[in-house]
Amino acid sequence: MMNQVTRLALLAGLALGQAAALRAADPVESDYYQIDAIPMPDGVVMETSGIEMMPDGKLAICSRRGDVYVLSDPFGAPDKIRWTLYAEGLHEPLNLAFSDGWLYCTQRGELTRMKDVSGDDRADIFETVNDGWGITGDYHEYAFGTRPDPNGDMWIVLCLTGSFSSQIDYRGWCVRVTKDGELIPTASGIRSPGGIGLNHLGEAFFADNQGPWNGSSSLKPLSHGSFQGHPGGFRWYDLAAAKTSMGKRPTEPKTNSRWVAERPKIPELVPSAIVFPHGILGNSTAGFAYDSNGKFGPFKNQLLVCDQTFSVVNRAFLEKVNGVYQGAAFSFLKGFGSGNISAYMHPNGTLFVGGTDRGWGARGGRRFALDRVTWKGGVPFEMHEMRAKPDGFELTFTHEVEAVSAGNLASYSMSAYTYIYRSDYGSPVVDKMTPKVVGVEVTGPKTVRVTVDKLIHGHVHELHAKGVRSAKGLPILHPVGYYTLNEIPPGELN
Amino acid sequence: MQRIKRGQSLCVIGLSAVGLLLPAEAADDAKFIARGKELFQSKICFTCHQVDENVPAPAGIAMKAPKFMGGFWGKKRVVTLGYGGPEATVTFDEAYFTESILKPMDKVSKEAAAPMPPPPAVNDGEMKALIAYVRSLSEGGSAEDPDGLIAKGKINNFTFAAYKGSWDRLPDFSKLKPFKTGKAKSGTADPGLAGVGENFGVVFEGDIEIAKKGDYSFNLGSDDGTRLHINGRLVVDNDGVHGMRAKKGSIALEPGAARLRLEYFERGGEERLALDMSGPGIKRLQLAKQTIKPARRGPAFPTGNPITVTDEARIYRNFIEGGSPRGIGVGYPEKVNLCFDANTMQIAMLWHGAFMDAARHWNGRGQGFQRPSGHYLIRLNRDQPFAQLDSHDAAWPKAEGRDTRAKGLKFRGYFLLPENRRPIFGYKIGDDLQVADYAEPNAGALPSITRRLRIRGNGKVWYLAAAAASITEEDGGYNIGGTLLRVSFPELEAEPVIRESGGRKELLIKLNVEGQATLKQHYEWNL
Repeated sequence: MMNQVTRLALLAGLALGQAAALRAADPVESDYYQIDAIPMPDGVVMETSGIEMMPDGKLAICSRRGDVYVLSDPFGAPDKIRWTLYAEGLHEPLNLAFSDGWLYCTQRGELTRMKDVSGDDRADIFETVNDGWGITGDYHEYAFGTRPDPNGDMWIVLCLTGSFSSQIDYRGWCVRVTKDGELIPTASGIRSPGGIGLNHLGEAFFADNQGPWNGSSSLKPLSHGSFQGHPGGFRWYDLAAAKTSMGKRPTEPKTNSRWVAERPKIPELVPSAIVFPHGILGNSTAGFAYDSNGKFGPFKNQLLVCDQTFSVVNRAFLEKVNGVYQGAAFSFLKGFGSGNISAYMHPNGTLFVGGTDRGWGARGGRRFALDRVTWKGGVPFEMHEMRAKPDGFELTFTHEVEAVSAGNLASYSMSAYTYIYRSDYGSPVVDKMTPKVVGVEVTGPKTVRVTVDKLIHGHVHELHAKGVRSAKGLPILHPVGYYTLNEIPPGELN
Repeated sequence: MQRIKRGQSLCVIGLSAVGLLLPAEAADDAKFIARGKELFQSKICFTCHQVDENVPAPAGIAMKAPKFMGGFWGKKRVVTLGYGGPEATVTFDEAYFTESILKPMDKVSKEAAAPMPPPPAVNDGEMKALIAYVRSLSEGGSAEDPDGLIAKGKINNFTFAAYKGSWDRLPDFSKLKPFKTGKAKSGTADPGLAGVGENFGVVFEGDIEIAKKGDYSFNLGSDDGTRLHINGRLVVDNDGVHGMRAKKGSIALEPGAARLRLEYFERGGEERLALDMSGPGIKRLQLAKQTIKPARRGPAFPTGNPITVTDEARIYRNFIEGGSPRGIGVGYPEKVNLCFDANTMQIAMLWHGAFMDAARHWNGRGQGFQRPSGHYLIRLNRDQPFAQLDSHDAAWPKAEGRDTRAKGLKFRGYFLLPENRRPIFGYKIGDDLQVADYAEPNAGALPSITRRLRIRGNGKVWYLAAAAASITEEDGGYNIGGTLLRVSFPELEAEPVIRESGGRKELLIKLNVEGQATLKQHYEWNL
């Protein structure tokens, strides 16, 4: 009797041990990507807010404190990288872009370009390209800029004065600065950007942060004439340049509404392409980068989007449905040193990510950081794409799937929700629903078609695919996709 | 993954350790309160949580963050379990406070517009200090003003005599005739007894009862000057015209009545008078109308990130107090500094000594305008330096507010001279004239600045060299009223004109630029 009990206990122990061993063997992010912290010289406080490659192979980085450093051999051993001060005293610069022999930088009050003409490796010309927007001295009045788009324009998003209002020219707007230094008012409705950039097609997207008229942080596509949701800066439609460029001011959105309810009434209103659910994927969406040639793994052209609070990089798959950008967000990488605000992808597949936790705390734990991410070569098993279909979603995986688990209804579950569109700060999750997964079909070696009983226009559709295994038996590294369904694709005609 | 795990275990340790290590008496310790007060700043709590009715927390207004004012410690408050989750009632105590810092998303104050973003990491010792400080802010809380209790006292055999007059220092009141006198069995030193607002003085006399032999100290604060005599001996001299300023003194006293004589005068502006004494058995006894508050935190002058200037000029672009939001500070090794205002293209300020401290902008969210460091700071008229006036009596375009931008001028940036990194600012006047604006520092016991302007192009333009209530010509230069600034033009061929316009004097130079014109203006000042 006692013997039997002992034997059972032993067996149970063994089984538990095996289960634990199996779990421990499940792949983790660091099997595929390596994050190296780049140490900073003594006394250097690099609250990394902008990262750019110089033509001589050195990496330029700027700090919220106003310094620009140039790093030689940025791909070498982190502790061998040499730091040289290139410029200082800039006003909270939040991006760097190299173009036409100049290093461009968006400061709070202007777009500047700088150059070293004396040959001492320090910039000596600081030319004001355009300073056509206002600043009152409010700390919230940040300015984020892009590299030149295919047209040569740089897109700049200007945070509101404080969080709610616009006290001076073009706060809460996106402007473009042309090659000739001309300012073109381009979009209204910006609240508090955390970053801006171009996708592989040269289109501009920016990250707006949770707050008034923004229930959750999100990535928004910028287009000329668009209204991005926060009406705080509408008064600038009265300025001559805005009148010419933007036409009349849009209808004011109604508070305590929903994006889907306001969109038909306000044609200029563009919905967020990707909502990063607040408190789940992050709290503060920031800068992004993308891999243009597949040297960083299987996610070519997808946006790798920083979150400042969570100290993570998320991944965004984008598609256009009915001409509107939307798509899915996935967790991607964690383990960064500080609050990620800037990202730069080198064509050789090296991702640099930097940030700070100053003013807004971050989980990373360090006050400021510059991290370097390299792909180790293995392909993680992930949902590569999640496309909207008239009755559900099509999932494409990075590996071939195992047909039984991938074709099993029980491997999937879904919930859907949205946020209040309102003038108050943020929003709780509302209108929660549970679309039922009613059909699953493995349509190709790497593709699965998921059918649900209902799709909800405008909702974030959160798909859990925890049961799916790859043909080699691997679980999905990040098995949840968050799809922002601005448009439901029309049904195909028979 | 590992990071998150570490964070969680840290939370657990943090909670239990704080619970164990924090007996009530420790929280009352003034040392902890003082440390907590510093942490409240450095951990950026202050940006959202208002603690002083006079110092708003702008970010907190937007977020509707709970204020730590009034009676809150030990009181119940409504929270939601998770943001937007079900409601619950909690007691604002150590456990709740600690949990709110370590896990801000768990219990979110219902009144708040958003959950608190995770603050920088707080260790156990810091948590203890923060608790002590925040608890001390609550009315009816257990902790008191670290400087000690204040009890109200009275001056026996109280008399006062009020005098009229305008003085820079206390006069000899014995030679003056009071316009008002009064007496009482006991009273409080109150300048209001004179019944006038400015240009007056009051002498208060009476006895204070001393019970124990020993040293007594007196803390005398006033706006403007005061002097305190006890038993005919001068104990505190706080004379002169100044804002509220406190000075201390002490004297050995025997038991019995000690004779007090307090002289006060007020010239203009605010009048304040505070006097308290402490000694054997007396802990801050208040004898005058007001009390001396500990220096207020709020918009204090933050330090800790000095930008040191050694062998070459340094630039600091930021919100500099006295300039516009487009201020460009320049510090020179010659121990002289300036703030160029890229809104108006004017030199907004000049000062000597230390350059700037970036503490305000490099800590927390970097809120507000930072005052220059150093000394002998003068603020110049910020109106734009160049204008194309329609006529010789047309009004000069004014920099009305901080945000006004120059009319017809366009900032082009700056060039740093390779040998010393001094900037040459560039801007355009209209479409036809380009200005290179170069300030050259002159070392010396009293360093000065020479501004060299080179204007290229073709056209007529006026230059505003100075504007002030009064401008007088003297010894080949001009004294600019209201400041101890003197400007001169070492190489000028044209004659500057002083004109009266819009209720002020303007020192103007008309330039007819044909290809190129140069102008050299020398600024020297003292205080």
